[in-house]
Amino acid sequence: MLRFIVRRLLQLIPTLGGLSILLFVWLQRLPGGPEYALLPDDATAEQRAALRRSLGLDEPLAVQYLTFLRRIVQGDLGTSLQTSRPVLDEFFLRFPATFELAVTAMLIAVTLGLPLGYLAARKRGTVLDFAAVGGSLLGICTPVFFLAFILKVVFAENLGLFPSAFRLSPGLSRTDITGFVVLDGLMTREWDVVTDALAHLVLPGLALASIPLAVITRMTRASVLEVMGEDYVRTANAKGLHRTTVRTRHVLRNALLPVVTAVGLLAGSLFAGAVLTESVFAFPGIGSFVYAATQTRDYPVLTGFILLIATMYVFINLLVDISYSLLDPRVRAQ
Amino acid sequence: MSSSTPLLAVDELSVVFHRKGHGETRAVDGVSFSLEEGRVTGLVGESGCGKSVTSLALMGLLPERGVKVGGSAVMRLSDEGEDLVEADLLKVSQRRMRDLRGTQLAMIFQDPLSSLNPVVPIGVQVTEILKRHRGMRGAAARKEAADLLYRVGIPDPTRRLNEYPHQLSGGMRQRALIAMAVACKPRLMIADEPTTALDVTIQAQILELLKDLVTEEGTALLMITHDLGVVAGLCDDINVLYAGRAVETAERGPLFADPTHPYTVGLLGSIPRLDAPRGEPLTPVRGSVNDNIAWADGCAFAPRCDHYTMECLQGPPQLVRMADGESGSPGGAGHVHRCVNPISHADVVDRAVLESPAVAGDDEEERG
Ligand SMILES: Nc1ncnc2c1ncn2[C@@H]1O[C@H](COP(=O)(O)OP(=O)(O)OP(=O)(O)O)[C@@H](O)[C@H]1O
Ligand code: SF4
Ligand SMILES: [Mg+2]
Repeated sequence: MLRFIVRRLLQLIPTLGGLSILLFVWLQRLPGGPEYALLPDDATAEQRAALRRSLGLDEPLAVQYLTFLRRIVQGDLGTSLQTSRPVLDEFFLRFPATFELAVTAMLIAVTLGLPLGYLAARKRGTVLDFAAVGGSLLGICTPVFFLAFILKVVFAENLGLFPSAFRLSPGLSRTDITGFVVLDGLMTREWDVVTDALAHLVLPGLALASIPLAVITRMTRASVLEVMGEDYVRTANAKGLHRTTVRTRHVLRNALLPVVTAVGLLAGSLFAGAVLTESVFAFPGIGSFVYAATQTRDYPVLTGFILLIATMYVFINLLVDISYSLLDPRVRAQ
Repeated sequence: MSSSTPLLAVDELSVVFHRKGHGETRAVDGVSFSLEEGRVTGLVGESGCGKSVTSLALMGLLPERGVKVGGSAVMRLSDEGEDLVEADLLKVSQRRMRDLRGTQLAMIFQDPLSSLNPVVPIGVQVTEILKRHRGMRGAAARKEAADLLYRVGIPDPTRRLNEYPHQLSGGMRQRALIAMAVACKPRLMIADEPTTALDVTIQAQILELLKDLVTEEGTALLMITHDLGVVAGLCDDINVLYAGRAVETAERGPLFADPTHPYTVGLLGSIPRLDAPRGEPLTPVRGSVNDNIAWADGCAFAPRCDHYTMECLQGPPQLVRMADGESGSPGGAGHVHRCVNPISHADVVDRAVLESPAVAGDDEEERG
């Protein structure tokens, strides 16, 4: 197992290496560099050129790339052009917010998606099934940005059920231990902080959950339908086992295997999805920071963010593979 | 045969599938047979003739929707006291059927690998049935499970309890499934081609195991097979099925000595042998199952039959019982066939008609 984990972590190197080259070439081709975003419109050509030079953007691409690599090996993702602070520090500062949001979204998606998909399979062809299938199609098709906006307008601004922005209500005092608001609140028993933070998570959490929820519902439904037709389910019924035993031990246990993989892949995509959701709800996470970075052509932040996502994917995949091997003895044997 | 009533009396069993866009499929179209304790009854016939559907109907394992089951299958549930407790397997509630499955009747299937849950240890798959029907728990259940595995010929059973199906050989898997089937000493066992997926040498061992069960425990075994050697070596009574109906029923001796129905003769080959080696398939009969006509219009086998006459197309042929002594071997009294021009070893004298002519409704059925 250890060898397997190490081998998978070593895969990170070529993955990130390849990705960073692609990024470099791609960013270079984007029209309008930071010299336009950071300087006022009436800046002279000389001023713009000076800025490019000071950022090292006038060097040949290969040289820029090598400089970048050398710094990355030292754990330095560069300095944000917006805030003039190290990119890594900015990420660390905002990571807890995004993480809380992503976990909320995943919890919503899993706790609703699994039962919904399972029921749709059991009641195949009924109104409930059509509603689940149709609803999930809608969930996949609706842009997250649009959904976030609708949720905000309806439930926050019109109905006033939930706050429309930020992680916490302004003026609420809290003790900061880990940076994770909900976790800190639980540890210090500041219940008002916990409820307030959760209320702030509901709408962005729902918006971010829409795609994973739809995918999990559909996958669970398809998987349960397939497993219900398997020979071993017939055997379980032939043994006269209780319906519930057949459904849990024999149907669900097997049907959830492919869903685990899907959940892992979706978890990775949540961080990318957070960019738009966070910006709609002014949620102070990595996502809204990166959104701002796209506006100002903050190259170091963008590069760092994409490398961060890629690293997360590799780690999450590793987690998925490990949990899969715990769940499926056939994989364990190999 | 301790009692005058058979253990299971299947009468006019029919199964019709309704599928959207496919119309009706009469998978089983009036099959009758009975099973006795300590005897092996064979169900033979080509692919698609309704063998598996028959067994699933008896087990109550057909899909819940789109299926219509007719007829009756009365099983004697206990002989205690004077009262005879019987139940019609086709009519009991689903709940009751779950109590009966595993305790009164059990089934083993064709493909042992796909019939076992791949992610649950063998031990759990055996003990779950002990928990369910015998109320056993924990260590006692595990011990009994190991005993069961040992009894069906699995060496080192305690270790096997912790293993998963993919870690067992094909033969071991089928043995494990047999162990689950016999865990509560059911009096009726159905085996649907239990050896088809196995190597020839393993096949013989599994058949031996099933045979021992029947002799030692007095279980009634309904054996579904394609294998002439299994029919000859294991089955006491044989029902030959064609297009959802029994076309010939007899004890083993008479059937091999005097196959009367042209289809049976075709299946057994030109020289029917009681000592046919195992693994030898039934002889394929010319043509295909799809070349048939509705039983309501005449003999479904007619398009493939070398003996057919115009008479064969005048409504469904009736079941005919062969007269005593007519059959070449002793025990020919139960020899029944469904053919107007039987292949004669002696002429059919007593044409006792065993069933009423087809009801008018039958004529409406059309096969696609
Ligand atoms: N669930 C189902 N829905 C519709 N038709 C079915 C269904 N199951 C079986 N049938 C039909 O019933 C008929 C009998 O099938 P069955 O499985 O009993 O054949 P069989 O005698 O067991 O054949 P084999 O030797 O191939 O196992 C076939 O024509 C089949 O297409
Ligand atoms: S009834 Fe006629 S067609 Fe059918 S098997 Fe007998 S001889 Fe052949
Ligand atoms: Mg079959």
